Amino acid sequence: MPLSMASRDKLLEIVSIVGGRNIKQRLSALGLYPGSVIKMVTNDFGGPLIVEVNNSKIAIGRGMAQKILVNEI
Amino acid sequence: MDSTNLERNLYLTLLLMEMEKPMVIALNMFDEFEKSGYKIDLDKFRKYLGVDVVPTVATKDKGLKELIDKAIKVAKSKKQYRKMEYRLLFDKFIENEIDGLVEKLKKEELPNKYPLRWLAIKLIEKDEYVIQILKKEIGKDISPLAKEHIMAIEERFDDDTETILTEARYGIINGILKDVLKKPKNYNIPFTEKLDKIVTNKYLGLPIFFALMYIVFKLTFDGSGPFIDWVDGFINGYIGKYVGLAFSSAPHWIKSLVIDGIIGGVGLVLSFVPLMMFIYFFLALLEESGYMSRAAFVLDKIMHSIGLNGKSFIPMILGFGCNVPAIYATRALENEKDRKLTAVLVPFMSCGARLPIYALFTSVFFVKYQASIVLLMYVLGIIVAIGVGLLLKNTKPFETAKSPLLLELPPYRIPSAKMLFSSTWIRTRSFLKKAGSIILLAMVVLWAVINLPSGSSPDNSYLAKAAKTVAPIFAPTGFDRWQTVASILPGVIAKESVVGALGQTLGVEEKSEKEKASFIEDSREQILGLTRAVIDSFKNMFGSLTPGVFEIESISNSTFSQKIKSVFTPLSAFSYMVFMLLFIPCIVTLAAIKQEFGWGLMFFEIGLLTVIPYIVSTVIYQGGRLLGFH
Repeated sequence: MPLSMASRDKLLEIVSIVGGRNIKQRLSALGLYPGSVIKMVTNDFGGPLIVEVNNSKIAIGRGMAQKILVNEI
Repeated sequence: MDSTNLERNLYLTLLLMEMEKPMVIALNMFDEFEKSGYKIDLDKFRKYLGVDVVPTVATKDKGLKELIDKAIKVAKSKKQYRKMEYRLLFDKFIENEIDGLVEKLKKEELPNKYPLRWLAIKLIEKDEYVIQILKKEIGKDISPLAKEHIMAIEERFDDDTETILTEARYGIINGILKDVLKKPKNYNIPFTEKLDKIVTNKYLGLPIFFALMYIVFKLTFDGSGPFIDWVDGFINGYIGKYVGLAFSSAPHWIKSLVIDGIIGGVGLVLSFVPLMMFIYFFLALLEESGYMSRAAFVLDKIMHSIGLNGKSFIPMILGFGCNVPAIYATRALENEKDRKLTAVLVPFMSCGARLPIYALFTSVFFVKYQASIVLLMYVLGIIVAIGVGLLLKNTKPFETAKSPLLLELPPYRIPSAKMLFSSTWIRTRSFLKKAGSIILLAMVVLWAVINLPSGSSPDNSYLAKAAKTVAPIFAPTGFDRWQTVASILPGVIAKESVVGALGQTLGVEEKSEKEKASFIEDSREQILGLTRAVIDSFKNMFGSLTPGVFEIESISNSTFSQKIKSVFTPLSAFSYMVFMLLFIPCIVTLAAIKQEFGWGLMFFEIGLLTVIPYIVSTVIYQGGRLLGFH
């Protein structure tokens, strides 16, 4: 499912990232790449969401979150 | 690198290692790292990386000397850093393919500034940027050489090469960290967690943001008020008095240049330094504490409506301090069109330099509502920026790609006093430099055009003649007197000089009351005054909830106020304030836009910042008259 659908406090594994090289590069520089385990921190309807990866918090716009596919662990 | 976030930071280090650059790693924020319970085996870590590692605490100057020494040593050694020295290799299969490609690259004529292994990796990753650069430099596309290797890797690992290499790098990193790093059992930061639950809450986020902005605004005005009064008295009543005495035997024109032109003009500008220091201080506090990125998060949705994401908000709010660093701050935005649109909107953010204008007019016309009117100026700037953003976002050059927000939210930190003060000082210093150079020059030139041809009254001066010709254009805006029109021009150079310019065109002379001058007595008086100002500042800031009023004695009690009243009505003064809010902020901002985006955008900005203020001021003045104001 897309990251934007995941609910709060769930542990997730990134399966794949749909998008251009640019987006993938920016995400992987922040520790978000296929295989990385993340935790959803805030996901309110409408706005951007916050995930935790490796002990740091990243705010991700909703548009981008739709392009990140995850599995619940 | 940020030692509290090693995994992610090492990713960049690995990329740099691939470039085979000599380096020394600084493990910064090491105090926080240890405090949160991490343990690291530095010797093992150094061995793995093949790079020297120095723990540092930059805010406390810890480890910096060692770091610099080691960096110099590494730089001097001139040793070529090769992959074997770094010893961090991908999986055998991938390394084989890289080696294969390196062999092929050896046969090509390539600029030898690039390490071949690095080029091979980039080609295998299909890095567009590197491929384009090479094409330019050697005149041919060598990317097909990598094709067979890419296919081999993709087939083996069943994914695309970029993803495979990214995962492989993180694999290497995790392997190292597993061996050298001991993580604390419970490593979330409870304070940050709790605060974020409130601050980024979907209902509370925006109200909290606006409340904070209000508090910043209130503290800035209340806190700086007494200091403004003091500096004003210090310059005009003290320095002015004794400089006047020193020049008492000089020819009249020199005395006039020094007292009216330089001390009067530059001095008036300088009296607003405390105000700027306060606003710079609070901006630094918001930045360093970590709240700024939360604000970007909270405002993301609103910013989307004008085609930008929340990150664009950071340059905008910096614009409240000064537009120039705000223009440069757009560099942090990834998308070029986002950058342009943000830069175009930044000048509508009312910078510190515009405050003196509001302060002057509100203290003459709107004493009762001073703080509210000034606040209204800020809000008006934001509203116009939103309007312009809405108009521009659908035009070709600014059509944004709707690049989404991606932003780290650092843990909250209590900023060190040293950092806050150095940040405040750096920004204030650049203002003082401006006061000493551009503004001083503007004041002298202005003094010259007002007082020439020699012996003429301001009414017959060169400036008056020129301004009178242009003045009718400004009739719809309500401020079409030559004195006011003439003060617009210095505003292009620097907004700080507008107030001084008005002082000069209106022919305000500092009345030096010829009392018994006792230098020691006066000096003591000044020092006592400063102490009183400190006390009053604290009383003001924390004594009440609503912003207080500051008055500038030399303005409110003097002929300046009378003269302002003779050429402005409250309505035309308001219209003038709005014009100055939206007009070209200063020549330095324009230069920054030119430097970052080229002539085209700069001329566009000049046009925009001339037409919009004219229209808005006209609407306000004419609308106000229809409603019966005057």
